[in-house]
Amino acid sequence: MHLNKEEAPRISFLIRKKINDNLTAFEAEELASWVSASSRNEELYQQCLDKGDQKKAFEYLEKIHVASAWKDVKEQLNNTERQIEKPKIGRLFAYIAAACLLVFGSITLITQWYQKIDNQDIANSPIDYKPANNQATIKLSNGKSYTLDNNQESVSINSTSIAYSNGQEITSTDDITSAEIHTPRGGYYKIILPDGTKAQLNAASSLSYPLTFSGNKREVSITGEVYFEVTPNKKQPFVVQSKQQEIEVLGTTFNINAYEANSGTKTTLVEGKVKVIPKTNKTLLPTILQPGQQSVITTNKVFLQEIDSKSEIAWINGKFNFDGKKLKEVMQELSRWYDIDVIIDHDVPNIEFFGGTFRNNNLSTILTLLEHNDITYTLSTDKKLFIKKLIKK
Amino acid sequence: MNSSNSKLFNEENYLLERLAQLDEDAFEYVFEKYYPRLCLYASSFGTDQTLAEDIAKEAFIKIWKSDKNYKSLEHLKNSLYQSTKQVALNKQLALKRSIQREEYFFDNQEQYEDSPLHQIIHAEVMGELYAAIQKLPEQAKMVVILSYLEGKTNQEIADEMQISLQTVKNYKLRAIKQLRSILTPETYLIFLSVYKIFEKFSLG
Repeated sequence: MHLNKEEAPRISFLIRKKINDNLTAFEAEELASWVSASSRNEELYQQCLDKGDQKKAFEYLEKIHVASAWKDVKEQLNNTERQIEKPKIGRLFAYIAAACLLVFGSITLITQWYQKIDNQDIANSPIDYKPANNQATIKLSNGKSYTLDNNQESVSINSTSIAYSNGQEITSTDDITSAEIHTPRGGYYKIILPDGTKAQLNAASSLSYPLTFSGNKREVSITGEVYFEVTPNKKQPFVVQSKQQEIEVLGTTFNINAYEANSGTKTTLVEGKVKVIPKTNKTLLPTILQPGQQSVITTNKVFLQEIDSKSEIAWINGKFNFDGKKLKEVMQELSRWYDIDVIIDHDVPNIEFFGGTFRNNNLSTILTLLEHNDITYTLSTDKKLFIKKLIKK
Repeated sequence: MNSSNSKLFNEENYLLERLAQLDEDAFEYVFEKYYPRLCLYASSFGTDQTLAEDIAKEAFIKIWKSDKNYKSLEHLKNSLYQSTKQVALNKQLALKRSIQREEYFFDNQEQYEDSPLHQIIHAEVMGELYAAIQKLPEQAKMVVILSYLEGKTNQEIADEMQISLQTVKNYKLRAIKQLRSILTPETYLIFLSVYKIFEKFSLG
């Protein structure tokens, strides 16, 4: 048996060629002699060819998040560099500075301690949360991901690069075939696709698409809520996939609300024409929408309703539209926009709302709406909103 | 040496040169390439995934800190495997000292002591297979996983993905094209394997 440094790459090369069924006679002989050299070799060889083992390895590898691991490692690379660079003369100053900091630090701590006690006594310190802002991450087919700049509001993608609307490049797209953009709770973003189509992502939503639209259709898929202004191209229809439906369009403006927490996927057509194809149940037929119509697809039904499309896409214009919505639905919307968890007591009635308000208000401003409805609330410092029934004295 | 080979050779030299100059981007490239398979390798020392990841991370940091110059990417990769093994063994030793479970330790030791090279071969084969499939577009990747790893027929895949039979075939073809366009020496080999896989299942 000859285990040496060159053996691992050579044997793994041969086994990969074996999987490919592409060994030359000479190589096959070489591999066979290695396999028969020991029972451990034989065992490994069988293991590598076993589909079950390949699948297991694949699943294991899939669970590894390279980008976040790199973040950890990168931090430590920088830390060590800083330690090495620290000059000797600076050390004395560092000690003095540390001593000063300790004194000041203690004073600050003590002051804060007392303030904290004060606050607890008052107990009514106003807690509030800011509305969503421009936040999103892009994940590319090469495994890389980028956090988009909060100061930019839209990103454009084409076959050569991904860049902000002011021209600042994020990355080139030479070896990239597809991208996925994702907004967290409390975030939103605008995207310009390779064909010029504009998409706007609401909070907690995602959009994935290929970087070049080849073939006979332009296909993208979404979760959450996305508003589209599709560039017309009769030869290449635009297709939007979501969990419950497929939409085929020629060139048009529409909004899809496919938040899973909601009951059903809502498609609202602003202008043009779209075909909605339900995926939930094979007996459901495709429906063609006219401007001002909304389709709602649930697990076993398709509704069609006339709607004021402007109020449905109020979010595009920075407004909340709560008209006709129930408490639970409104709370889901607030939860996504303000990145908070909402806990509603059992005895709170699921009241219906009228009107709307602006989305750039702080949370507390919006919550004053509740007070006219015998409902009270408390906000906690860990981003929780408790909704309770107002007990009248 | 033909011209295309020497071109790739130059690129490798460029990478090594930048690594020697402690270029973090170059190191990130190496990290993305080898981190998953080193985790897989580390897990063969009887560790769970979190620990395996910690071991692999530490191994990379060690390599970064060492002043070594690498003759080739293969050399660097080998050093990464050696470093991972060292960290894993140290952790095992620490574990043994702290909890004094000698039986547990020796049981595990027996399992790996005879076969670090075998485990490297295993990690290499799986790592390359995974990397090649990962590079495919989402839908094509799904088709490859379902047809090859799960052994499903074209019809079963069509039903599961809710697409037509023809679309399944198209995705397979597209996957082949895609793999053709990412021809590096390592992935080329896997391209061939996936291509063969398609041939095997195309009748399904």
